[in-house]
Amino acid sequence: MSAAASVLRIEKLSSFDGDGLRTVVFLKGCPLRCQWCSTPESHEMKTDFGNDKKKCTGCFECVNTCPEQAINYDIKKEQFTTNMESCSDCKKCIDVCLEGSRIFWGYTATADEIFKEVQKDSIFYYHSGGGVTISGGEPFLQKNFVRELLKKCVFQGVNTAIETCGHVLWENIKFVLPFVDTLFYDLKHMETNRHKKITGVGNGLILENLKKIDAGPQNFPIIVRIPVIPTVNDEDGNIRDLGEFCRNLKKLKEIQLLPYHRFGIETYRKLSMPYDLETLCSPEKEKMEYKAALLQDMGLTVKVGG
Amino acid sequence: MVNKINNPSYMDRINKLRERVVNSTPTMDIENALILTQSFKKTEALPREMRKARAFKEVCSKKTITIWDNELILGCSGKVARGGVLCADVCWSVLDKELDTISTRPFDPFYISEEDKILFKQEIKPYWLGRSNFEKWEAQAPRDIVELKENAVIYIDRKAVRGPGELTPNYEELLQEGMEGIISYIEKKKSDYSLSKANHYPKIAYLNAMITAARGMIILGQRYREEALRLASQEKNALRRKELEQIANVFLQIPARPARTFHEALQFVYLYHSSIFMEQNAASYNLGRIDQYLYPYYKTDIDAGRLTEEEAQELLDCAWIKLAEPCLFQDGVTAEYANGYTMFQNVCAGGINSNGQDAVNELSYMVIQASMDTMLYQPSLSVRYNLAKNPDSFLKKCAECINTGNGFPAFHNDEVGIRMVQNKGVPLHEAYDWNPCGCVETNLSGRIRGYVSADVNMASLVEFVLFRGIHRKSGKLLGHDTGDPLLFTRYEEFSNAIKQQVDHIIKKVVEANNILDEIWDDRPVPFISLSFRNCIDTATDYAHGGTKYECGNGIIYDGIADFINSIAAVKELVFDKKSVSMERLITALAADFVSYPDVHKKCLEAQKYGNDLDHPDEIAAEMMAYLAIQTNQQDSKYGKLMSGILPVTAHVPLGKVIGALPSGRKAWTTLTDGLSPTGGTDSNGAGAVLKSVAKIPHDLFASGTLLNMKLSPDLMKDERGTVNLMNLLKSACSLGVFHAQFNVVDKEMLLKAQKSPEKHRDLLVRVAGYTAYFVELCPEVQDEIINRTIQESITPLKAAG
Repeated sequence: MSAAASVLRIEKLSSFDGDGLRTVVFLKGCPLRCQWCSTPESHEMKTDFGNDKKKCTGCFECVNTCPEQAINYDIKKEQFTTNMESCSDCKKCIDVCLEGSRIFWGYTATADEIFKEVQKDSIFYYHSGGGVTISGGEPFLQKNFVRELLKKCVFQGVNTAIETCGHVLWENIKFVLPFVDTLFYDLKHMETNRHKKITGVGNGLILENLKKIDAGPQNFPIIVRIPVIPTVNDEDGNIRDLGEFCRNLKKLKEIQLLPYHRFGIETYRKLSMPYDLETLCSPEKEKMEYKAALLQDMGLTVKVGG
Repeated sequence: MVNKINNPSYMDRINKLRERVVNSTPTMDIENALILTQSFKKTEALPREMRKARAFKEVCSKKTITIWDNELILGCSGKVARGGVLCADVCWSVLDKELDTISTRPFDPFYISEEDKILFKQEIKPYWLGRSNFEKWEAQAPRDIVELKENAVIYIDRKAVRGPGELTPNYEELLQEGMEGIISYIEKKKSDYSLSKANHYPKIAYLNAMITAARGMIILGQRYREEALRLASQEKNALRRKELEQIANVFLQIPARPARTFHEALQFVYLYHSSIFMEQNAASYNLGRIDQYLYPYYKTDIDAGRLTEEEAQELLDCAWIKLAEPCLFQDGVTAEYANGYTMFQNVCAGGINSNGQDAVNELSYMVIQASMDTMLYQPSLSVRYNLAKNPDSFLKKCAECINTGNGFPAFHNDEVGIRMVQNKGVPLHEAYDWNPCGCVETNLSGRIRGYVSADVNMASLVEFVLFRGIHRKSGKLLGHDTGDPLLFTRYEEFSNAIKQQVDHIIKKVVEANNILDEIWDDRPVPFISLSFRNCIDTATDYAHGGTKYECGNGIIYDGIADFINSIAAVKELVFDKKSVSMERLITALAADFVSYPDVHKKCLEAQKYGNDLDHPDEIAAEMMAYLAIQTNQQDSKYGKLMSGILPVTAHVPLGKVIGALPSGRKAWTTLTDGLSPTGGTDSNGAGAVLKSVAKIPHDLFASGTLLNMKLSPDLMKDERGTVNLMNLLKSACSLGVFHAQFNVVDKEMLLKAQKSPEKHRDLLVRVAGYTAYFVELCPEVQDEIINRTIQESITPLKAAG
């Protein structure tokens, strides 16, 4: 039996999550709740439901159809909201919505099925030196699926990469690592209390896991990714502290500084979820270069962007 | 590889030349027609070919010739630079019908002065009344064909309103021999014939006509020399005087004698090219593999130190500006099917040589650079990219040109092109030398004849199956009645009905072609035939089967994605899932989905071609292979028919007669262009589009296949973007996709251009196999370009999250 997982989506021809042109498999479910997260639809393992107000005519068919009465109209937000506790994922609301404004995110698929999808793009991997990248959400939460998928890839010559927030059981990570060609590891803040405030969890497990991976027997390169979120984690001291931690990593290939962006804002609205950083702006190019220079001065290899 | 100089000094000249072209208004040019008519009046008693040759020679001797400021390469088919040259013998009646409307018609208007209108009515019309090919076609077309074309099920007037075009002269030979050399060759051939023998007279008369045409071109060259000398004698600027004297020297050598230098060779090519239009105005006269046949002259000049790389580039750029001048004159309806004035003058770089090895040289890069320097909608720059043989540096140059957003080059997969030409009956070693033609057709310089004649509206065929042969727009029975669809119990019955409609429509086009082939025989072209050696060797005109290889006419199939998606939706909804009954589907389609939003939703959500999904793509493969194979086995006077997928802009008018389709497309809206997925349904990105498109057997479509992809400009803004595009292009080749062309323009820019066209006069876009000024296109085509899904997924701006 092929292991199944909760999959968010598959992005094709991505050139930012590893070498060459890649197929990125986004999985659902994440232990963190980063304030700036641009994919709020990846937080929960189960299917998410939302509504696109631009298309919605307010016919209430979704509300009337739902057998669980999980859909309500929030007068204040002027938006349909879904009570995920009572939702049974029957998707009847999707079927009755003639405007296509009712949306869902997520589906269950087996490693076999996703591998079939991944193989479709082998010609692009061949010419570009690309491969598959597993991202999320937090992929290590669904370790059986991920191990099986990556193993199939490795045994068929498809280059593999995985991106993690690191806040998972060490056993999960260890279980998958033999089939990883490149590891992207996200770090946000070196001060654990601050980390807890901006992501919902402390950084203890994250840093500990990274040290273990670095000390492990595999030889893959580690790329540390630091999101640069103005006023949230972008203080020079934090950037330097993160750099200091990374300097001790033997497998470190480079650090990527990812500028904050607001592409996710519309998804929050569709999901009727509050977005804490409503007024925050993306950092300018100069600012990103300045932050990169801080790390470069410490002798680290740094790149702005993925 | 050629290293580009930043801000080269010659750009000042090129920009001035360019300005003149961009700012001139397309104008009807009847000077040649007047000279031709006068000549024909005097030659009633001569053989048909000689009459044509005499008229050509008269045009060469009498037409206005102009050398514009700053020009280094000269020539003009007519009197005005952006002229629509009227060929009275082919299509005088087209202008007659539109004399009062052509200046204001919605598609490709041409200015015409009141004075010229009078001249046309007094001098041209009375003589040609009843004698043009277009009138003959109108008089001889059978009733059922007329019904089909009037209702846009097929479109088949294209080649009756202008010359057939779609040919590539053998410039290598012309340059090596000069017109005098060719005349001696003809004289020698003439000695093989004797008037004392039966049936030899027509051969001798024909060869005499060829000699007359060749002499015409020599006269034209002499007149340019005289004009250059005259201007030089009056020129105050010493630098320009020297240039004019140099130009006069060029014409001392060519076109009479073989070219010796790069300048002579390039001038010879342009003079011959522009003269072809004087004999017969048409689209798709190709310059072919210019980087190959000009290379010996370039190399010799560079080695001898008499030419610098920069000077060579300047000359090429000057020729490019000249190639941007001519405007295609055709009737208003045909203009709707192919708008943007483009002449489809295809120039090619890259590919392999006669030994099957890499043919890329310094000129290959410079040819691409010329399009980057001039940023004009003509000539149509194509590359033959051979994945195995051509270097990455050449591919990179292509990607850089694509990145400029001028819509060029049209990227052709060399291996597939070779197979297409082989499929026309050309042996492999000669197929190595193929060149792209028109937008995406395949051609062979100086050796082959064959052109597309008809468009078939594939969406009509779906309609005919669902409505038992009834054309919904007109209510007429125009299709085949393939039985009551409500009685179909299996998908195979439905797909067989589609195939029967395919067979039926091919039969109708074959019937029309057989008539057209006879009418076209009335149109000899002795001047063009000079560059087809077999025409001389057999003393047979190009139009009469004189070329070494002959093909039957090509049929273009339009609305491919609509066709595939409609069949796929019927299979998925009616037969596989059984979520909509055939009856309910047909009722909903008849109502244009009004009151059937649930059916419309299901139709729209059915799997669509362009997403690398097995279900629709298997239908694409099956149906398209059937279509090509059925077409390719039809016989005609000149050989087996060919098939192609190159709609130009035909998908716009063809959509206007098509009611709602099972694909979810609403009634009377535009169809989808070329092989592209329907805009808004290709949500899996550029890679998936290529994968789906590759499921169609491109090689079987010897007239070419066309894929448009629009790429957001930020896609290639850094070095990695260029590499991504290179890898995507290599992947497309590995997949067996024949052609792809890219629009690197963002939506906002296009919307702005729609609002204030005067500010965006030189904004270029890919339409369908060619590039045109966006603001000169009709609003429907503009809208369609805007709505095509922008393929941003190659390089989304990756950031935190």
